[in-house]
Amino acid sequence: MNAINQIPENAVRLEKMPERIPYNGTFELTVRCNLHCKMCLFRHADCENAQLIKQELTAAQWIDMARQAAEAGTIQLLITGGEPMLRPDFCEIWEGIYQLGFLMELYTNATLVTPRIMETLRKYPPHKIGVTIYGASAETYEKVCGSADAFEKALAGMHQLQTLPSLMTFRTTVIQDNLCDVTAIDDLICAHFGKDYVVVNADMVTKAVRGGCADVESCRLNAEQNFMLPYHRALDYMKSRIGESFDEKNVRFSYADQSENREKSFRLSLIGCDAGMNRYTVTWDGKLLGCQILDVFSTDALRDGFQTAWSRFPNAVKLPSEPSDCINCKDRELCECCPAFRYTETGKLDGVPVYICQTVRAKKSKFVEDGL
Amino acid sequence: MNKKTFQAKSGYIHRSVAGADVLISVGENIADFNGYIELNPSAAFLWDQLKEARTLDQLISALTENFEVSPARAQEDTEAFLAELQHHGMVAVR
Repeated sequence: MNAINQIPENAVRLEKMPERIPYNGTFELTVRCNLHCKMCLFRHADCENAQLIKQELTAAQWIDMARQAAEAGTIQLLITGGEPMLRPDFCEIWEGIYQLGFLMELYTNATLVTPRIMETLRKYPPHKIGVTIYGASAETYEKVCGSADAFEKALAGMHQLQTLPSLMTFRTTVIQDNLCDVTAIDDLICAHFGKDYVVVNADMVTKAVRGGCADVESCRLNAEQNFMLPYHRALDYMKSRIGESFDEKNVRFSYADQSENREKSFRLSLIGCDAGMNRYTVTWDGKLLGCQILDVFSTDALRDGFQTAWSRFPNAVKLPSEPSDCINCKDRELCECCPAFRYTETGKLDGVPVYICQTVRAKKSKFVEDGL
Repeated sequence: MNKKTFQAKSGYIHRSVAGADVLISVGENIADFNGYIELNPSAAFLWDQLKEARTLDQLISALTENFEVSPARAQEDTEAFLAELQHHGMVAVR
């Protein structure tokens, strides 16, 4: 394998830089939230809320930002938080942005759905809604989110949101405190909303970022658990679909080596994915990021305007070489690490994230060496 | 002469995305069609014409006046576009 700074013999010379168009945007209306999830990446300490509110973009600023983003080429727009419905002007922001014409997605914990919000969403329904669910009981919500009441509120909110013509998805984040609820969450969603829904679990829970206050390390799954969780969920899913004839003992998973395809594929990017190329986040205080969890590279969309911030973004990206431990790692092809994960896990763009290394080793042990 | 008229239904936002014309389905419409359609320049022109009720002949005339296209080709393209719009329930026909 070539070191990252060496030019391969068969390298192609670029005639021009690939066009960067901000098709896919995220507007983070706030990082505040009514829940206090132990593993939240973004939520700040409550004592900071008064200051955060002062710095959040106003409704008029968000709508103007959306107008600028539309002019620059954004077509998909995710409205998220924190909890976006926590803002008293949520309806005003949603309506103003919606009328500009985007494919709109809304992320919410569904605990703050009011008649007024439903009236707005009925008139301007999101194309997609991603609802988070953190447990199958009030007790689990208390443990994970710090609020037992939130369980019933979330269920009621989900039922209201389901009456909209939007595509609805359910998302969860599994930590030690709700690990025993994983199957119950699937069953709950199935019982309340039908078999057509699959609860999507976050692949990896990174440490808190951008001033978030959560002590994620104390509650997230260990690397082995984190890796085995999707394996067990996949088996459960197959069982539920196939029924009694499902023969778990004869299920074989195999690892498909993609290294040759990866070397042949040619990808131009700023930080290894489409962040900053076709995707961006505007943060609660008006900064433009390529990736929502990585704020070391940013421009100022509020001060300079969206188009200028987007144009200048590549100049803000100063990426060091990959750490030599990663370049020379024999398990490199099994690893999906990126600069953002390195930074969130180690505080350095070229740090070696031990948690991810452990996950890769667990993957190798189970799927490559054991041939599970 | 065929007096049947066609008019674009509400529930679509016509805008430009990186130089391309798109129709984005919005509102209650998304129950039937949750997405967007990219329009070529003549289709975008016809969609704008359909803000008002128009007959087939009016649409063909407008197309030939604004694009370098023969009447026969304009008729073919307009009929095909209207058929597509009707198939997806995007126009009111009266």
